[in-house]
Amino acid sequence: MDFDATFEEHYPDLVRYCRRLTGDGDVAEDMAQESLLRLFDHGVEGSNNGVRAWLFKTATHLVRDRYRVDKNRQRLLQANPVRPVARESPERDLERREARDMARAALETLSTRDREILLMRYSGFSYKEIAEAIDVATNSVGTLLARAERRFEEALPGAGEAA
Amino acid sequence: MSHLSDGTIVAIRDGALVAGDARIHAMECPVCAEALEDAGRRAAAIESALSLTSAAVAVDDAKARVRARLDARRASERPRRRFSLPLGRAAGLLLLAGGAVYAMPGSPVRDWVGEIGVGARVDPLASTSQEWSRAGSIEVEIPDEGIHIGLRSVRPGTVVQLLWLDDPIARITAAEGSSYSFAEGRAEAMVAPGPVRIEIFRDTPTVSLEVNGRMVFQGSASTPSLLESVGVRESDRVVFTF
Repeated sequence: MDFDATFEEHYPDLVRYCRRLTGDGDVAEDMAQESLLRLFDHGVEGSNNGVRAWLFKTATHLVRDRYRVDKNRQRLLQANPVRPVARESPERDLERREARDMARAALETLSTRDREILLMRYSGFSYKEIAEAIDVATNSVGTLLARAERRFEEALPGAGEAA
Repeated sequence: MSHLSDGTIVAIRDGALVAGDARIHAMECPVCAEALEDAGRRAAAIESALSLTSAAVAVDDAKARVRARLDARRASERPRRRFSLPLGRAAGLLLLAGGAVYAMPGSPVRDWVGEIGVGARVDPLASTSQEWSRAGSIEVEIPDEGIHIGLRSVRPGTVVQLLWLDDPIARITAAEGSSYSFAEGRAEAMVAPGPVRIEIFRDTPTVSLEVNGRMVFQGSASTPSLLESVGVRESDRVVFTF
């Protein structure tokens, strides 16, 4: 497996996933790097989709291990406020920041499992891959996802009009 | 047919495997068709909200860091990691919390081991195996490829915990009266009634756990695979009740 190509292909998505999961950019980078380190260290081989699923599953478990207590997540989130990505007009920048904070706050209201299932789904994984990563039966993913989506939507003011 | 559940609706929306009649129903039933449309709108809204939480990711520095850690890890690997115990631990070779070493007649591990006299002291660097021994626990080093743990005489209702720890060894602890043995890449216990605790180094690439001849677990800390429904996975452990 080519180190550079694999890293460049999977690392950005993995960091984004972990960042949404943890609310902490530094921890997200640590978890993503640790996942990739284990991938190469253990000599995991497989299709591109298989490697991606392995990485996300590993990262999900690493994050779980790191945040055994939700309070710890909250504390870290408060200690690591969101930083804007790029400078835009002050109004647009403010709007974007508010929307991002609302999305992040909505994610925060979800249980760990709801957050994992929602983020895996919106990272493009199949129900089977989601089931394996978060240790649930494949045929219950739809039900759990529907519930997680509703909870997220309820916690996200104006989400219904955004589409 | 009654209306489809929310779970089935989102499964159809996501193209997951759903029974054909459910798909037909979703197209023909106005209530479910509307629910499907709502689910699509919800997905777009969520996608849009989550995209706001994306940010640029710096790849090059991270790549250099991981490569350096990988190189360092490989460089520090011992050239010889066959089953062995450090000499400093030889005094308690079997570590066996104070028990007398004894050979069990008819031991199933006789095939893998040489003759070792009762009460014999074994040079851990010269030997790769040990007869059944009675004590409180056994501790062994883990070869590169992983370790196989076998438990025998496990009674119904026995709770077995498999824990991932930072200590780079494998350890089995069971009730008083249990017997233990090891060979390269495997450790076994014939357990007396009572709970069993198995501690494994968290970076072990592959662990397999066989109980009374049934394989119940195979995998690693990050990619565990429960082969039997008797196990419940928690953050850093799997708890089996037999």
